[in-house]
Amino acid sequence: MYGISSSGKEAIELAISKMFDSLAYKFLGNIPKLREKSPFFSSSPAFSLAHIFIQALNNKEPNIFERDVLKSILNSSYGYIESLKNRTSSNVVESIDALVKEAKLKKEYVNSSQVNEVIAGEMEKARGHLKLIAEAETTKTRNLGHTMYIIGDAKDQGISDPVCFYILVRDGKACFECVRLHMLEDGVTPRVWKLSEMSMGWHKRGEDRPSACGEHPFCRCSLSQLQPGWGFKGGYISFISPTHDEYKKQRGEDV
Amino acid sequence: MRNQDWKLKYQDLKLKFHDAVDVAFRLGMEQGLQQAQVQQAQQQQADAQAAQQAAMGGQPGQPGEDPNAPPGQEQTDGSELDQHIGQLEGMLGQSQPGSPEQAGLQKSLNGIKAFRSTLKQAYELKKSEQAIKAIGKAMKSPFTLSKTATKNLTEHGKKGLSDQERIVEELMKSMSDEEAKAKDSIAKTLDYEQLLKG
Repeated sequence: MYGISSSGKEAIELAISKMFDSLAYKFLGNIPKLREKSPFFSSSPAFSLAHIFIQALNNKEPNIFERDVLKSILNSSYGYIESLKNRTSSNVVESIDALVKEAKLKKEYVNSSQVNEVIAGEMEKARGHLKLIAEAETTKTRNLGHTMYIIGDAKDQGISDPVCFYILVRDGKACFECVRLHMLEDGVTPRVWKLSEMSMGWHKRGEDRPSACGEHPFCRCSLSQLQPGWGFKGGYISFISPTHDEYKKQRGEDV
Repeated sequence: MRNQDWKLKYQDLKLKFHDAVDVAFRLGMEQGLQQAQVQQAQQQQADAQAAQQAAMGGQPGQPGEDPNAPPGQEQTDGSELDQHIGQLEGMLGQSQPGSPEQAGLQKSLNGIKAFRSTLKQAYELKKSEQAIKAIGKAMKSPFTLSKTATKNLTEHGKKGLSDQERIVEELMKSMSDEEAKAKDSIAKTLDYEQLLKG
């Protein structure tokens, strides 16, 4: 049974592809992979993933290593968007083709409302996935930017393995996993970790160490460094004494 | 003591008494408005009971029924103002029809009724506004930093969080625009292939 022609399918795929490329460009910022694709992407978007990374680095010019980290973040994020683009494109083409075939079998034509309904259904699915990608990638980028900043700052201070902690941004709305990993049993004091103890990949529920990428897509907890001599009073960061070691205190090693 | 003007003192006290009554009445009104939701529920219950009693053939003189009430008397809702209106209506019923006293009372009564209606409308409007606000809040809670986060987070950390919210929001907004463009382009393709009706 003959549905949409192959050139027609290509045209539909191109429309979907353009849509996702434009979104990826807006989200990721100026990346060569996309710039080469279209001459329309001439200016960099004001707010993008690259912007978040630089912001997390305290707005300083990234060095060669930080640039490389950013490049790999942008490439992997683009990979996720590209896979969503391919899937959505195939789904839209197949759904419209099926609609056309069914109509032809009945010796009828498809109307625009039927086509729009099919596209809207597929786009709704894509929208959910895109939001998930955007949330996960922005969280990861923000936290990796913070990590790079902490590493640089610690290096300047001669600290090889800095003590870090997560700041729960939404009290009362934080998930169980974040509270378990980021807070002590008192539910007020942030739990400290050595940077070397943290996982550098996606966190899996139930793991006993936090991830530097954040714990989940909609996570707003922020990574921060705890300077030597500093600790917590009622959950608030405060200077305790020059010899105070919060990590040892929390691990029961300061005897 | 002898030189004291008792008439003036009496008038002064009377004035203070009226002021106190007025203030108490206003305070009572405000409190009444705040508790109106509860009262409304109670009122509905009372109305239902009254209706039930009426259906069962209630005796004259029972609570909620005034045999001397003039025709067209409105049902009260139990608030203090309604009690006063009820009192005035009772007085109006007892006064001579067509007398200047009755006309004056009727005018005052109408004024108070209009005032009550305005108050009720304002209260309903306020309640609706609150409901709309609550719905809005439930739909999307605004992004706010907790107290500890406000103190513990660095400035660039705070900025990064708000930028994250903004970037995701803008991306999703762009998706709607791009979706419309894609739909248009697909429709053109199908039209070109002569697959679309019309």
